[in-house]
Amino acid sequence: MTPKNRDAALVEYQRQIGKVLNCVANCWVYAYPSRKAGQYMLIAAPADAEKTDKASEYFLRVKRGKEVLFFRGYQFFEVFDDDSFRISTLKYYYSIWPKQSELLIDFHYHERKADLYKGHLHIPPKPGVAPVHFLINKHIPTARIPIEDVVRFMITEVGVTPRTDAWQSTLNETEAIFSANRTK
Amino acid sequence: MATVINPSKEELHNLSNEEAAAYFDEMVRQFLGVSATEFLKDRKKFESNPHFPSIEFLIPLVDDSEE
Repeated sequence: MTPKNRDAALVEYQRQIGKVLNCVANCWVYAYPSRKAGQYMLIAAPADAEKTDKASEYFLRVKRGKEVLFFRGYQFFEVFDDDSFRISTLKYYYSIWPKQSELLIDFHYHERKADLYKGHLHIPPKPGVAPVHFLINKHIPTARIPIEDVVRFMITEVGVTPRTDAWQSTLNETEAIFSANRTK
Repeated sequence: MATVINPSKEELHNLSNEEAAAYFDEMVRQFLGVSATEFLKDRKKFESNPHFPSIEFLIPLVDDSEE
């Protein structure tokens, strides 16, 4: 259903992102308006029940069998004042952490000098260990990755345990909305 | 719980300016050990910290010239 105004579009988008991330984490979605009309920051936050200490405020907890991994997800996006109030992602940051002090991989999409690889990922060094190969910390080019693919990647490649049996249909459904409204 | 944000415990919550600033400041203190003001004065000093890219992404919460 087409949102009636920008506020409705924002709420609907928050709801969609919440559905996606709740496939793997007990998650709430915060939005913060930019000074530029129609632009917003979006923060994936843990649901209250997941907040066990100060650091836990800033990570989603995802289960990998009996193990707990951590996830951070942020977006900066724009709602267009057109007939359908389309949404376009301007920047994103998604990261997976085996420990809260140890980053495993992060996916970025943002402007860069020389306009190279707006979409890219980083593989950081393991803490306290010298880089083991020359791609460590480099900008490895990617497409603009939908958040659904990051969740699929976590489930199918990283081994994260989905919180619902319907995760595939949920991701397919929200991604279809993303594809239909894609502006670039 | 670290910050006093989202007091109504809403699944979809819009941050006020005060909540956004508190969220950012407490995150910086938690992971970099300095205040948001100190971080913004000399952020390059923290580039090697694994939390740096995520914190840098959130700077528009407190400084909208960074968008």
